[in-house]
Amino acid sequence: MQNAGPANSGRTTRSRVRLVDSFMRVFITAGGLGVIVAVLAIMAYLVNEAWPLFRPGRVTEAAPTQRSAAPDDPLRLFVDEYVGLGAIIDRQAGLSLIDLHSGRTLRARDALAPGEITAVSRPMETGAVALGLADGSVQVGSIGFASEILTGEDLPADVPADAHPGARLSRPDGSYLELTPERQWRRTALAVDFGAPTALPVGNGPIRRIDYRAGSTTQFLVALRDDGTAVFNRVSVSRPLGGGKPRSRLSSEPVSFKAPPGHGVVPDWFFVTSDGEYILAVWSDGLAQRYARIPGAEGFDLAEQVPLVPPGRTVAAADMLIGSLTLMLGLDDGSVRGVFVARANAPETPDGRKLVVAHEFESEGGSAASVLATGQRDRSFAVGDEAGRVVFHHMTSQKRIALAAFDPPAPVALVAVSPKNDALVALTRRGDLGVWRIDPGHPEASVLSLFGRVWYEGDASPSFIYQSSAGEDSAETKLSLVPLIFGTLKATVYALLFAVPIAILAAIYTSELLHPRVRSTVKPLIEMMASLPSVVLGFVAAMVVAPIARDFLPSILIAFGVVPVVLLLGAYVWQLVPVRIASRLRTGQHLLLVIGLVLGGIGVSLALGPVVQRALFTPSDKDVLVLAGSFEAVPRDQWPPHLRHLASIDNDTARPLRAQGLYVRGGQIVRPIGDLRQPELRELVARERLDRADIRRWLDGSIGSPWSGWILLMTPAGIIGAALLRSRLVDPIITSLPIYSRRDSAALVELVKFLGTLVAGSLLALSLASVLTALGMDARDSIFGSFDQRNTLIVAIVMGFAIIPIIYTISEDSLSAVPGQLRSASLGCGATKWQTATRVVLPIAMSGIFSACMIGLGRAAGETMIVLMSTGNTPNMDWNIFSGFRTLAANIATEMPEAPAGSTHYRVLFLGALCLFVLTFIVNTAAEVVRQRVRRKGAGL
Amino acid sequence: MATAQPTSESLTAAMAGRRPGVVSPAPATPRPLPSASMALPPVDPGSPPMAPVASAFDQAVRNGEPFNAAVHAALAAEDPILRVKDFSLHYGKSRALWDVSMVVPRGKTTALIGPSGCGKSTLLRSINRLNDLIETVTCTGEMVLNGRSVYAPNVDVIEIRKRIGMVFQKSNPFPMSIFENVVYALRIDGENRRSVLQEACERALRNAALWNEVKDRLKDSALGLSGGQQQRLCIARAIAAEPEVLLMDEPCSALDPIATLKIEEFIRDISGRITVVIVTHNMQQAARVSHFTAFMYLGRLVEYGPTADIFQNPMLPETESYVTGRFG
Repeated sequence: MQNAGPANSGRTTRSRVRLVDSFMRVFITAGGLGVIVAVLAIMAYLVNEAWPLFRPGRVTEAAPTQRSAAPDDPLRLFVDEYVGLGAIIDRQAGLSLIDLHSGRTLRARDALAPGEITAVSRPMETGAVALGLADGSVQVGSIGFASEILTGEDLPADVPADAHPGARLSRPDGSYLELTPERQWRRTALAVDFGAPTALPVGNGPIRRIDYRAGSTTQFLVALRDDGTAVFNRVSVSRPLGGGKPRSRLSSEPVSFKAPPGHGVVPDWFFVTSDGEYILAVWSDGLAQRYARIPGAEGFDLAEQVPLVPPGRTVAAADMLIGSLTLMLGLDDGSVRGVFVARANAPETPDGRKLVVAHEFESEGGSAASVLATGQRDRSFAVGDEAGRVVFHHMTSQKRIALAAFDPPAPVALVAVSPKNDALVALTRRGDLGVWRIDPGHPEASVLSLFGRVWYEGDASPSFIYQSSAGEDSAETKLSLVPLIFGTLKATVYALLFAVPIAILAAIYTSELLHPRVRSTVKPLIEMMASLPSVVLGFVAAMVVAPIARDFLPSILIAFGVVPVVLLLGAYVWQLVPVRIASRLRTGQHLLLVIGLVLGGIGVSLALGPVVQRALFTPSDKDVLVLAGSFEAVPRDQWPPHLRHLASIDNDTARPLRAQGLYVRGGQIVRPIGDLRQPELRELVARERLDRADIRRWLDGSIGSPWSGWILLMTPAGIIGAALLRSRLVDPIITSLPIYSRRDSAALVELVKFLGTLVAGSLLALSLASVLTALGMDARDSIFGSFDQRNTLIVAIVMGFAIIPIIYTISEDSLSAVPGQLRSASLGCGATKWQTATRVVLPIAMSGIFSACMIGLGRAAGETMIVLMSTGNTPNMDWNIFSGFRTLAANIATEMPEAPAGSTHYRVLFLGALCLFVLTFIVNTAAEVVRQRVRRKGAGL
Repeated sequence: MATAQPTSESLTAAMAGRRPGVVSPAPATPRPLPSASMALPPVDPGSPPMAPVASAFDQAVRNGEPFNAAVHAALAAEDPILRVKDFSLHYGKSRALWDVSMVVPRGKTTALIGPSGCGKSTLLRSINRLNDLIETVTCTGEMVLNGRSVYAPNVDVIEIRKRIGMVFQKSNPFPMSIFENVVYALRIDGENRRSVLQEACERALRNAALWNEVKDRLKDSALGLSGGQQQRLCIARAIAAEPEVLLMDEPCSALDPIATLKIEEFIRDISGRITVVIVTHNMQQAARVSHFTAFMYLGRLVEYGPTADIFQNPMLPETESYVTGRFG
C-alpha cells in the first residue's frame, strides 16, 4: 500500500494518511475483538450462572463433637429452624431436649402423654405426630419449635447490650435467644401440643405401629394393634363456604392385614402414603406388603407382597420422603433404595400397580446403614451408618450433596436434616453430638436429572419430564431439559421443512429466471417479510392461522401436495402452448401466471379437502355405535392374551385393536352392539352429528383405521418414488422415440408421462398404505396424533414465514454471486436457464445456500414469540405434527419472571439458555466448516 | 497533470494517423459523435477529423448514419452459412451496431477485427443470442443461420444455441470434472449412455489437442488445469456436441504464446469441418488463422474480404490505417 520511498519517485505518504490508516487499523481490530469478547462474555456469564447446578453441596462448618446424654432407645430427632435445639423422641415416647451447641441436656425425658406409649408415628414436616398408647387409643398432636422476635418489655433483663449478631443465650426454661443479623433477639422454644386420646374401635391390645399423614383437608391415620388388627382412619376436614367452624368427619376402613408366614405379626415399619391409597408394611428382611383398596372388596386388602432387597440383605432403616410417596430403605451393606408404587399396568397385582425399586444408592464404605432421615424441603435424605458417617443425598437427582463423619467413628443412632436443609445433626450411640452446617447447593439438579431419564414417583418407567413447578411444595420437581431441547429441534425441523424448499426455489427463481427489473422489486419485498416483528407473526398464528387450520385441516394437509402438482401440471400444459403465443408473454406476466396457478392450487385444495375428508375419515357404523355409547364390555378372558394383564388400556395400545373391531372405552375393551336403525340411536347420531367425517376424531384415535393416514402420507412418497422409477426405467426408452424429437409432440409425451406418474404414484401409495396397515403400523404413533389447535403445523407455517426471508436473501446472494461467464458458457452450450441453474449455478452456490439454511436454523432455534404464542407450550416429546411443544427459548420467556434469582429453577433456565447458545454455536460452526470446505473445492473460479 | 500518461487527446491523435505525443492544435470544427458512445472508444468530442479529407466512413459517423461496408467480390463465390442483414443493436438508448450486413462462408474461418468497443464481440454474441441476457438489449435486422432466422418470434433460442458452440475470452470451465465439462452439452440433451459420452469426450478432446494431456485424469476437477489447458477444454466443450458454427471471442487474449499457438493450430485443423467466427485483437492471429477478415469500427462493418486482401490490399484508408497499426 505504502510508497517505496522518496528516492524512487519523489512521492511521499502524508503523515495524516498514515495516522488515519493506523487509527482505522486499531479501531477495526478493536471492534472485531470486541465482538468476540462480547460473545465470549455472554457465554461466560451463562456458564457462571448455570454451573453451580452441578456443584455438589458441601459442609461449610463442622461444630466440634459434643458429648450428650441421649436416651437409650431414641426414635427421632427434631431440630429447630435455626439449628439451636434438638428434641429427641424415644421409643417409649419420652421427649428430651438438648442444646445443639453445647450438647447439654436442657430437659430430661418428659413423657409426652399419660399412660404407656407403645408406638410413635413418623412426624410430618409440620411437626404433626400421632402416638399409639398401650390401652389401644391414639393421640394426635404436634411437636415443633416456635420462634418469635422479642422486643422491649418481653426482653429479659440480663440480655447483654453489646452482643454481636449470632450471640446465643440459653434460658433456663429450655428455650434460647439469638441475636439476628438485624440485631433483634429471637427466642426459640419447644412447642408441644397434644389433644385427648381416642380409642380405636377395633382390635385388642396395645398399638404397635402407627402412621399419620395430614394434608390441608384430609388426614389419614393407620394403626396396627398387637393382635394384628390394622385400621385405616380418614379424617376429612371441610370448611363451609362463607365461614364457620371447620367440620371434621372420621371414617374407618378395615385393613385385612395378615403378616406373611415366618414373620412377626408386627412389621418393623408401617406407613401410609400421603394420598391415602396404600399402606406399606416392611419387615427387616426386606419383605414388603402393600395394601390397597381392591375393587370389589371392602377396605384395604393385600395387593402385593414383594422382597425389596436382594437376598441376604436386610433393611436397617426406613423412612418416607417428603410427599410420603417414596419409601427409602437403608440396607445393612450401607446402600439405600428408593421404592414407590408405580402405575405399571402390572399383571400380577389386582390393581395393576407395583412396588418398584426406582433409585439405588451405592454404599460409601460398606458399613451398615443405621438410621435414615428425610429432608423437609425436597427429596433429600441423610443416612447414618455404623462407621459414624452421615451421607446426604437427593433422591430424584441421585446427587450426593454432602458427607459428614464423626471422628473417632461411632455408630450413628440419630440423624436429622434441619428444616431449611442447611444443617445435618447426628447423634451416635455413644452419645456424641455432631452438627454440620451444609451448603446444599442445588440438590435437585444433576447431569442425570437435567439430561437423563429419571424415574419419577408413581411413573411406570423412567422418562424425560419438565415440570418446574407444581401445586404443592412437596411435589417432585422435574427438571429434564431434554423435552425442551426436543421441542426446540421439533420446531426447527418442521419450520425448515416448510421454509427451505420455498426459500431456495424462490431464490433460484429470482436469481436465475426472473427478469432483472422484476427481481429488483421482488427481492426487497421478500426481505421486508423479515422485518415483521415475530410477536406479530405469533399473534397472527395463534389468532388467525390456528383457527383456520383447525377448520380447514384436510384442505391444508392436501395443499402441500396439490399446489405443487397443479404448478407442475400448469408447466406441462404450458409446453403445449405454441411458441408463437408463448413468446408473447413477458417475464412479469409469467410471474402472474405462476401466482394464478398457486391460487388455483389452493382453490383446488379447498374444494378437495372436504371430499378427501369424507372419503378417508368417515366413521364406520361400528365407530358411530361406539361414539353413541352403544357398546358392551368384552369379558377379560376374551381380551387379546397380551393385553389381559393390563389394568387399563391406553390410547396407544387401543389403536391396533381397531383392526379386530374392538374399541377401548374407559381403559376397558368394548365392542359395539345395537343397530343404528334404532330410532333413539338414529336421533342421537343425527343430533350430535356423530357420523360426520372428521379428521380430528381420526387423529384422536376414536374412529377409522390407520390406512387413511397412510394413504395421506404415502401419496407424495409414492409419486416421488414413481417419478424416480420412471426416470430410471421409462425415460431412456421414451427419449429415443421419434415422437420425442418434435417439440409439440414431445410436450404432449411429457404431459402424458406426468399424468402417468401421478397415477402410478397413487397406486404405489395405495399398496404401500395397505402393506403398512397390514403390518400393524399406525402413523398416529409418529408424525400424526391427537390434534391441538395450537400445534406444530401452525408453528411450521408461521415460523417458516419468519425464516424464509433470511434463507432466501442469503441464497439469492450466493446464487447471484456465481460468475456470469459460467452462465454464459452453459447457455452457450444450449442449456436452458433451468438446466443452467441446477447443473452449474446451484452446485457452485451450494455453500452459500447451505449456510443460509444453517442461519435459518439458528434463527428458528432461537425464535421465541412465535412458538410461545402459537403452541400450547406443553413440554411433550413426540413428533406428532398436530401437538404442541415447548422450546428452550419459550421456556425461558415464560418462566424467568417467576424464578427467584439464584434458585435452582432460575439456574436451570440459564442452563437452558446455555444449551440454546451451544446448539446455535454448534450449528453455526458446522455450517461455517462445511461452507469453507465447499468453497475451497470451488476455488479457482 | 504534467505526466507522461497517455491522454484521450493523444489517443484520438493516434487514431487520426499521428504519433502520440504530438500536440494537436485546438480543433476548428467539433465533430458530432454517433450516439453509440457506450460501444465506442473514449473519444474526445473536440478531436479533429480522422483524415484531412472526409471519407465516406467519416461522413457516416459524423451524420450518425450506417455505413455501407466495402465487401470484396471474392465473398460472393462462397456458400454462406450465416447471413446478417441490416443488423442493428441497442444497449438501452445507445446504439452498438449500425446496420451490419455480412455473410459468413460455410466451413471457413472468419475473423472479426477492429479496435476495442467497435462492436465485434457484440456482433458475435448476437449470433447465438447471448445478448438476450442483457435486459436492455434490443435489436433489429435479420440474422439467418442455415436458412433459419435466429431472431424470428417463434424460434426456440435453446435450439439455436445447441447448433452454435462458443468459446469465451476468459476460460470458464465449470467446477466439475474434465469429463463432465466436455460432455456437458450432451448431458443437457439427456444423453446418459456412458459409451456415447466417452466417445464424444475423447473426440472433442483430441480435436482440441488436449487428449494426451488429460486422458489419465478425466475425473479430476477442471479447475486444476493450466490457463491454456482450460481454454482448450472450453473449446472441447464447445465442439463436443458437433455444432455448425463455433464462435470464439478473443480466445487467446489471456494466454501465453505457446497456448496461443496450440489454439491457432486447432482452428486451422478444424476449418473445413466447422465454420469458425473468431474475434481477435491480434492482427497477426487473424492473418494466421482466418480465410476472411471483417474490419469493424464504431459499430459499423467497414471492410470485409479475404484475409490476404484485407491485410495487404485494403480498399479503404480506414482499414489500411488500422492494419498497419496506425491506430487501434
